[in-house]
Parts: sequence; structure tokens; C-alpha cells
Amino acid sequence: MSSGVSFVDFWGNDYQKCLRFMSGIEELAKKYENSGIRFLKFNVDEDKMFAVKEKVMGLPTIVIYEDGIQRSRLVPNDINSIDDIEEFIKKNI
Amino acid sequence: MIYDIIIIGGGPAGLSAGLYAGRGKLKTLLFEKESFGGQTATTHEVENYPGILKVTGPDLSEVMREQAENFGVNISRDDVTEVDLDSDIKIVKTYEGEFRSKAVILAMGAKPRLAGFKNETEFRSMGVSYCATCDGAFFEDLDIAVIGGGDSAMTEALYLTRFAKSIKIIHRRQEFRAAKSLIKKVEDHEKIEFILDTVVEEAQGNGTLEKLILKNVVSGEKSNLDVDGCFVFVGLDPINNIIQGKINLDNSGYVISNENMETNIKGVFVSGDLRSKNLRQIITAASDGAIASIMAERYLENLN
Repeated sequence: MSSGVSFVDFWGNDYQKCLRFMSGIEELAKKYENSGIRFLKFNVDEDKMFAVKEKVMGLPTIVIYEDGIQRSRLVPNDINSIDDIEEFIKKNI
Repeated sequence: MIYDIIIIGGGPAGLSAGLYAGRGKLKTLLFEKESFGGQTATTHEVENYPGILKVTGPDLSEVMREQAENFGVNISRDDVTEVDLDSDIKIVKTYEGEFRSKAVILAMGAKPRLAGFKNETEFRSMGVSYCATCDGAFFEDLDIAVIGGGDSAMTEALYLTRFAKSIKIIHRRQEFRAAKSLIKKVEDHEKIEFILDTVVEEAQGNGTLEKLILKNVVSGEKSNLDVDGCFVFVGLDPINNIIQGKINLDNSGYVISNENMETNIKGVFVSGDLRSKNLRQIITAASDGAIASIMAERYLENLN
């Protein structure tokens, strides 16, 4: 995510809310694949300290990076349906 | 299709109701939009459920779900948005559709109460948390605060010592509601300190939480506390948004029922933390669920 705009879904194995939205996020990634946003996901169980460094403090957290710098984020409380995530993507295109 | 029973909520109350309904061969549909087990799923250790010496909350929740499903309960991950309970046939609306049943068991439970300081919601999941098992690991080697003086605050503060560099427990009084044995453990822990007679007035930070503004309730003196995280354990509020104005609630918003879990609406039962009562534990939730289910079964028999 060094250059351009990236969408990063921070998720964890034990978080049902992450698993519940994962396939929906994958569909959104396909739908918006030509939008210029790069879609990535990061499993915090593989490198917790990266999540700590990025100040992820709850899961799922979705962060938009622009040229490697955090621009905006969506935290668990903001995510009630897949529509909330799509709205967030639209705002960041 | 008309179900015999629709259960709203998949914590110990809903899953126990489901287990009994499924075992009684009733056509049962259970809705759980988030985590099976409800608050149990966010409890790191359970050691007061008879017959089980010690179990993690998620493990206990998973077995409860499996047990209900084994007895034939249909489970949906859909979110209930509206209910129409007045007629003999109850209607439960969700994002995906409309479902009908002859009886409904309300088991939506309760959720952590907000502490009420300025910017609390803005910093939610940006440093302010209500679940140590969910979010604790993200505070590795950081300084955090815990707000509260009950059993939950003490238990969760002890759990958070696994990760945090330091923990300040902020409590509005000198005395604690928590069990004495727990307080002793907390007092003896080298990572934990108390800030008593104090409330949090405001959270501040650039993006994520950096600082709490505290006020001593005796002297009125204000101070700053630099922290990366703040965990709030100050009690519970009922999850009653879909039933407000439709059913009798007590002054705190919990559903009023008799000992048979019957509400003021025919065919509508309540169980677990959502019910107006004195003790909210996994065992009382499970017990309520069993009673609600059996009483719903009797109600259905009388309908036929």
C-alpha cells in the first residue's frame, strides 16, 4: 500500500463480525476493481503488532490508505450491514 | 410457512429456549445477528456455570449453539428490524424478509452501558472499548484506563494485565461493588493502580484516544491522564429498540414478565438479561430460556 489508494480490511479468526462480512467485502472488491482502489485484507492473528502499530483497536476495522498514509477508517460500531461498507468505499473513490 | 416459535437473540437465553423447543419438535427459528453466546462470547473465562469447572466464553457459546442446532432449530444470521406482536400470528421483519410464528421469545439481552463522557462515541474502537476479550490484545505494552467498580471492571482489568503496560482503574466512589476477593487480587497486581472518587469528563486525541480529562468528585479538581485505551465497564442497558412502545417495560427498559416468562402480550415470552429481574448470569439466562420455551409450548397446545 505504498502508493495509490488502498482499502485494508483488518480481520481476525475469532471475530464473527469479520467473518460475516468477508464474502460481501470480496464481492465489493470485484465490483469496484476498476475504481482505482486496491483491496487488501490483513489477518491480525498473523502479525498483531502491525495492527497495534496501525492503531487498529477493534475488529473489523477498515482503513483507507493514500500513499501509505491513513486517510479514513470504518470501525466495528459503524458497520451494521454491507451497505455501510459500500457507502464508505464510494466516499473514498 | 408459519413457525411455532421465533426466538430473537442467540445468547444463553435464546439458545437454551431453542434447545428446549427443538427437543420438543417445535418448528423453531432463531435469529442472531452477531455472536452466538451474546455477552458470554465476550467473557474470557466462565467458572460459575455448574458442571463445568472452567471454560472460555466463546467455547461455551459454541457448544450451546451446536446443541440447539442438533435438536433441529433453524438459525438465521439476519438482523430483526421490526416486530408485530399483537395478533395471534406474530410477524418478525428482518433485512431479508418477513417471518411468521405463533409464539415469540424475546432474548435480545443487554449491552454495555456508556460511561457518559464527552467524545465517548467518537472514540469507540479508536481507543474506547467495552470488551476486553475482543480488543485487549491491541493494547500490547500500552497504557490504559478501566472505568468501573464492579465485578466486571475488576475481572476485565486483571485480564488486561496480560497485554497492557499499565492500568488505572477509575471509579467514582471510594467503595467497590466488586467481590472482596477480586479487589484483593487487583490491589496486589503491580500493573494496576486506582484513581478513586473520580469520573472521566472527556476523551481527547488526534484520531485515536490520547488523553482522558478526569474530575475528582470530592475536590472538583481536574486532571489529565495520558492513555492509549479506555475500557468501560459501568453496567448494562437492555436491547429493547424493536419492542419499545409495544410491550410493558420497567423504568430501566427491561421487559416485565411473570415467573412463567409471560409478558403482557399473549404468545410473547421473554428470557435472559432483557427480562426485568435481579440477577443476570449465564445460568439465570439459560433457566429463563428453558421456562419460556416450555411455557410457549403449553401456549401453543392451548391454541390448538
